[in-house]
Amino acid sequence: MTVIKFNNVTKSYRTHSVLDHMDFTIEEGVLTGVIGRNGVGKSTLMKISAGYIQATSGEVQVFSENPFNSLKVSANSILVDDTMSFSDKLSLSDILKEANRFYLNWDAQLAQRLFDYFSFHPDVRHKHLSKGKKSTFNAIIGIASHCPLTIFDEPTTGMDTAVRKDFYRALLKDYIANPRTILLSSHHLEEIEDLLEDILLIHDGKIRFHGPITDLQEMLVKLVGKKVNVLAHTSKRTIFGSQVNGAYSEVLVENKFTADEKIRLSEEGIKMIPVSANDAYVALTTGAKGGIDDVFNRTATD
Amino acid sequence: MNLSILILLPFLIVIPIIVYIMRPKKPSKWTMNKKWTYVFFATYTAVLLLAALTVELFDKKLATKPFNHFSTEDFKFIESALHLGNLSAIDPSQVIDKRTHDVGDTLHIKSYDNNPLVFIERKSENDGWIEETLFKPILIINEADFSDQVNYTKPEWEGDTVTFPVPPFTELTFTSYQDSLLLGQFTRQPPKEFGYRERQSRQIVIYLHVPKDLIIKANEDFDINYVNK
Amino acid sequence: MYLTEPRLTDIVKKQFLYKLNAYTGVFSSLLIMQLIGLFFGFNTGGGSSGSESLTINWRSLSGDMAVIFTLFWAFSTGILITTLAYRNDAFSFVSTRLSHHVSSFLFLLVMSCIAGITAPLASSVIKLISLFQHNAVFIETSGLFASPVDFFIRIATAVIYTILFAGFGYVIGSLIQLSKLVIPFLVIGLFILPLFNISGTGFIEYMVIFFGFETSLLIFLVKVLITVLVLFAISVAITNKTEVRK
Repeated sequence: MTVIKFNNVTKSYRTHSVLDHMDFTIEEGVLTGVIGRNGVGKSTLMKISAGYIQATSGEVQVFSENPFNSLKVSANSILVDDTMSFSDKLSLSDILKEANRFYLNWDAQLAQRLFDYFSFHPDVRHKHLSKGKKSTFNAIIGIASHCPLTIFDEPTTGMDTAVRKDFYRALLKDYIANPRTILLSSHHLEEIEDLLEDILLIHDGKIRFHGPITDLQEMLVKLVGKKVNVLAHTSKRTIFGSQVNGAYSEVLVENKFTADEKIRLSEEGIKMIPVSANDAYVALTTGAKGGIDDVFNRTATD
Repeated sequence: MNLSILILLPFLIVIPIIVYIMRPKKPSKWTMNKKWTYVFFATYTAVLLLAALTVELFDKKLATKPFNHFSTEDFKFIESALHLGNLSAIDPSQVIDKRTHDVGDTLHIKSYDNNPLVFIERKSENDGWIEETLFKPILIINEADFSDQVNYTKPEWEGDTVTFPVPPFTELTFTSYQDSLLLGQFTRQPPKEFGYRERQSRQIVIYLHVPKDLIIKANEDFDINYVNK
Repeated sequence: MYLTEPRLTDIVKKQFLYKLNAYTGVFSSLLIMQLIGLFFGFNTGGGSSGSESLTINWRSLSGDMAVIFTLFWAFSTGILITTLAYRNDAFSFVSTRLSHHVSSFLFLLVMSCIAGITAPLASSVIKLISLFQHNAVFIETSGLFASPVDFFIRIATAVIYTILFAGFGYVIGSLIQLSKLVIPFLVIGLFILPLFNISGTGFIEYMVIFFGFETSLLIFLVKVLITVLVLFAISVAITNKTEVRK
């Protein structure tokens, strides 16, 4: 079953557009990482999916309904992010009780165990929590609600490394025990790549890649060899990144070599090195401006 | 210009202030949680109910008849009875004192600024006695009798001379309470004008039965009401 | 994970209970406003008059201030509950704009009833304290035992007026959420233009006549109910596209 379906979706504000004619579908029971640089529209995509904001044009369907003003979507989904706010009249334990009231699949025992594990005080107000603690508390709600569509938008903001690891581990364990559709966004791919099944890579308001994480890794390849030799092979290809070390150069290109070409590469002493998902992500999202090196290179030549 | 609308201008000032105060603020260290809010509010409501009931009980016992009713008609009746010399018609509770004084041919009246009301009725004979009847002062506010709270001094008699001293000072405070006028829109009893509405007051009255041919000497501006039956 | 098929009434009920807990600040503000009203109720009016030998001082106390401040509170709460912070609180759990509106409105309705009942009762505190003073006290309104019908009519009037003010606050709050530009327009339209006697602008005056001069409680109730329903419908219509948790 398809859980989320974006069909030609655009979201624009007065001055700029965030999502640009986006098409994708998320299937049920998949843990998808929404990856992209800061400000590329990850949060916008998630808020549209949760029905908080409305797409400017195009069709959005969540559980086969337009999520905006859909009671069904609201009852079956949760979006955990830093805009979650709770009345300062409610203590943390009150908030857990309220969540229990609203989410039919709420796992009160799990919530309480996580609450105790991360040593929260039940009488504290949500607004008095530190940033990391707030994120941790929100994440507990996200996990324990067991919503058929659970969305985490940068859930680890402010958490320290140990808590991040605990959170991801808790999420994975709970996901295995209660399979459901989860969207998880982060700009640190290396942190969550072990967790993810699929990746939805957003860049400049467009989907740059959507598929299993292994496909992302195989999408690019790094050629390492003598500068001249490498150049001959890459001149007609899109270069995603290059580095020159003396007479040798390393170039990232799309992994679209025929069997013949591969043989020739090895004959010319050019190595094909597989890239990590993170390198591929960085390379795909660097954009036309090139890398940070380019900024400095230009200043040097000018 | 329609000035009645200006009454609403305080709204313009007050509402933003209230909204400003009540808006969700940055977290302060001390916030009342929901339990205590409810406890406070329940206490408040309980106090209100208790106050309302207590008031009702007081209201029943005291407040509905806290004062003797004294209408303007009652007041007018006394005054006209005095003018007619019909003393027996006046409620005996109005009389403070009855005294007799022997007198010669002449009565000298000494008085100061605030003249009391003096009635003189001549008897049909010269028996050498003055019969004095003193009536208490009257103070009616909003038709309620406050007469007992007015201070007075009786006239002083010495031989052929009577002195009317300046009446002592009286200060009186009262409170007038009314439920919200706004909520009287549909009540069966229409809301009344409240507060200080009307007052009737006078000091003591001295009524003298004097011998038939007694000569009375007083200041020119001293006002005496002679009663002729 | 199976999908739940929620019913609107069910969610509204849950949200209403949630708001009773989460919006308890509204209770504290009501308490504060009525206490302020009580304080001012002790200073409504008074004076003194008299002659050389007699001075009469009097004080007038009334329950009006407690009622007026309760109406202020109702209006402000109506506005406040539409603000972004309150909305975000509501949307942290299951909610649609419609369920949010309905539950907020139920919440306002219940709060108005509580406020409307406590406002006339609050004046009994003034009455009580005045009775304990040494002075003579005129009680010019007969109380519960003397005229029970009037007592309850007064409470009903307070409740209905509170609902009306809350309803106006809610629709104005919703308009402000739509655009902050609404504020100057409202101020000019409601307060400035009527000063120049331009025909058709005396909205407040018209409202005062429409509600304040009504003599039948039943017709008044019907008028207020219809007005409030219209205000509610306007609020729902104009904010149905509002985005939350932006």
